Amino acid sequence: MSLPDDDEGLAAEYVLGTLNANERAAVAARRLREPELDAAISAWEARLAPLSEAAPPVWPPPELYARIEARLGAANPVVDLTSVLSARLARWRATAAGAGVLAAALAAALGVVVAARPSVPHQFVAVLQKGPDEPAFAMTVDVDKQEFTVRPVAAKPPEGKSYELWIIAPKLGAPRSLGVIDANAVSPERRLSAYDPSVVREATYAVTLEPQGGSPNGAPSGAPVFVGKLIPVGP
Amino acid sequence: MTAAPDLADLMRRVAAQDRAAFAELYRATSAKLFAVVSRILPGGDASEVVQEAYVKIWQRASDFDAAKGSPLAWMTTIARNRALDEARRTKPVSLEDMPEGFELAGEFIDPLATRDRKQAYAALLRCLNALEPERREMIMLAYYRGASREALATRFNAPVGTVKTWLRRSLAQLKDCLSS
Repeated sequence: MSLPDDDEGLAAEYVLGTLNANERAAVAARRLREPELDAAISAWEARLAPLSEAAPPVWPPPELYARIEARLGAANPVVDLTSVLSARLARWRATAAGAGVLAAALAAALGVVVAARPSVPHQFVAVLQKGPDEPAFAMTVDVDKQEFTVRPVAAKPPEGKSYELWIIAPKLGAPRSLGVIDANAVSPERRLSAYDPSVVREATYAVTLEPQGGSPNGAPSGAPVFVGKLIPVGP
Repeated sequence: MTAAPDLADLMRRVAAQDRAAFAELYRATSAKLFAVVSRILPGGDASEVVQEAYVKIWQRASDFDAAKGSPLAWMTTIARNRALDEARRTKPVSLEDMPEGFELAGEFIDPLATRDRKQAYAALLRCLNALEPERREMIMLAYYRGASREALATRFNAPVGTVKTWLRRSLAQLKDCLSS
């Protein structure tokens, strides 16, 4: 065994599930560049897999398959966007002169993906950022379907806090919550049907830092940390 | 009784973006994935997590390597990892309402399970049963319910560092037993 005992134990605990969020994230990142650790994790997955296979079945809600199928069409041509954005981020940081340049560059990257699907009209993206070189989330909006998703690029809320997304438009008065967003994963499609398409297109989108689980009273607790506007990328 | 579908064959067809095969794969496996996820996220977002897992399975089916394990194990790992990330990100799992002790099924009755998988389960069961009952229960609570070291420390009235030591020793013992 070429792996140190400590890493062997770490791999075992990663698979068992007893590591905390930070340790899990660190192991997940390390396994990408450490083949021995990755192999140790795979071996532990194989060792413990029979427990999952032997678990008594629990049937999911009957409508779940329809929801999955609805996402396949959209998900199919999308390469792992987050990794594309993250990989290009460093380069853009060095070259982008301002927010507009960076946003345009990100939109262009998204546009390449979206343009592969000419049948889907009214696609927009928003890059939610703190400053010109700090994009945190990329939002994609389909105005026709009245749906949006949020993709994290480089944001992590402090321990015990959550990021919450808001739609802000003069017509709406106060900011309206679009829900708590995940800094680790692409959000599932969420509905925007409560809002008029013209409001959706013109609105400002903002992310605030809230207590874990979201704002307790339905209003932002502080100033936005990241903001952005929609940019059309679809036909 | 219908014949059990061949999951490896379905995976190959899903990798070629065959929607009908994907629907069949879902029918054959979703109750397993949902079982695993809903135990880790009771009353939580099990549906969301399972949904994300199947989207990922559809996108990544070509990464599945039959030489490295069963299709069900591969799929379950995707769903379970996502469920654990979710459990660690949100509030700690409470073990208050968990049943006392975890009895493992003596054998695994499943039309999908091949002889090979049943043997793998029997071997694991034998090695788990060789652990001290309390240590075995810790492993079970962690694997099935997503219990963290902290939750186990509370439940077993021991310092977190001690729980870590116990877990690692038990896992090392398990590994030795399985390779013997």
